[in-house]
Amino acid sequence: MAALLEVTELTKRLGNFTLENISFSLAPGYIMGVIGVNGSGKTSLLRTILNLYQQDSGSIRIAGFDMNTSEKQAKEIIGTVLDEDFFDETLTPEKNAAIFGPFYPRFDMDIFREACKRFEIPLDQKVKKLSRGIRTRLQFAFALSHRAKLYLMDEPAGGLDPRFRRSLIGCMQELVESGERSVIFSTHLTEDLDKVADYILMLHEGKVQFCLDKEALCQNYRLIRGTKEEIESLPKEQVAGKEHSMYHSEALIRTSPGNPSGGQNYPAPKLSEILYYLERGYSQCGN
Amino acid sequence: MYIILKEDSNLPIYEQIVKAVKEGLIGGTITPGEMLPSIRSLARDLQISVITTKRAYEELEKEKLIYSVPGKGFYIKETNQEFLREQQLKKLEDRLSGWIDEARGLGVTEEEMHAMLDVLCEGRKQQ
Repeated sequence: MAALLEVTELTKRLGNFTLENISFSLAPGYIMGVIGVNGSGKTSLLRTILNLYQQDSGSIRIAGFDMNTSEKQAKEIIGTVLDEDFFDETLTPEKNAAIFGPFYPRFDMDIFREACKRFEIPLDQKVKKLSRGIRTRLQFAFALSHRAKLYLMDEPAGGLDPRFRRSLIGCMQELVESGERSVIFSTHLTEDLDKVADYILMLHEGKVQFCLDKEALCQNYRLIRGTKEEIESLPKEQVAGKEHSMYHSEALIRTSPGNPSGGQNYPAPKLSEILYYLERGYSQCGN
Repeated sequence: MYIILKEDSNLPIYEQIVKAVKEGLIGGTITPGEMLPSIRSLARDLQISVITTKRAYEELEKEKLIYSVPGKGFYIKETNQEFLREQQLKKLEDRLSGWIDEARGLGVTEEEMHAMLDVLCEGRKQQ
């Protein structure tokens, strides 16, 4: 099946930061999480995909539509939840929907009203009076109302309380259940990804570190705990990152391809542990 | 059939699903010929990823416990319940062996082990 999102050799310079040669794709029906430390390029990548930043080279295709040559068609397919929304603050959510909805041919006011009811968004208050969490939900409601297929979200769980965070994750799963829509979202909350993400894209200094399905990722790494001597005696090329503390040591190792059962007795790491040790590994190698 | 996932389990989630289906088969809460939920609806129900659920179904298919009918879904195969039970018992024995080693390491005698087991069994009954 054709990819809903296909990014090929994308490069974008932003001051002294560069998104470099980024390629990945996302098929319909899946959830992709974008992770990486602050400044790794998550937001820049999402903004470049949306053509909010003009790409320098490479291509971005949304359900086959090229973002450069068919931007309108491409954008009709995308629903966004971003840090800053585009709503007119002096108007109510409903008035905003009435203004911005018609830009999308598949917009449906009834879906919008239903979504607002479900997400407990007051329809009669001016947008500027709404809290950050509610504005996040409002963006999501609007994305649903124009029947977007690709949901692109930048830290959507950021301003949400635990109840709505859970409901957001539930909504994401509901979206992809039919197998026709996909979600790509950036986050620091790796426990959300541990649960529902199908694919993980990790960025480091503007480059793709890996883009793997979660099962493959968990197969690739193991977390070993032991004494300092035990950790130090591990083959260097296998260790992705390590940490010694007073009473125990820990290392993230790559399971070798030739010996896939190597280290199988150790638990598969959580995403937060992979993220932590890979980043640590870079800074240890760098010095 | 219930599939209760435990976050602190040493088993990866896909294996926990496989185990739940096996236990269901042995316990009779799942019967051969029964249709399984679709991968996507089970993923949503359990709040886990589609990929993980797929992996679990692949594993069940590999172990010949389920089969797929293209365009329809997955079904429970006619299985040898006795054999399956034997397999699970073997795993239980392995775990018990580990428990015995640990007890020996603590200097617990065999008699004390039996007594311990009796007391625990009794306690479980009352719950």
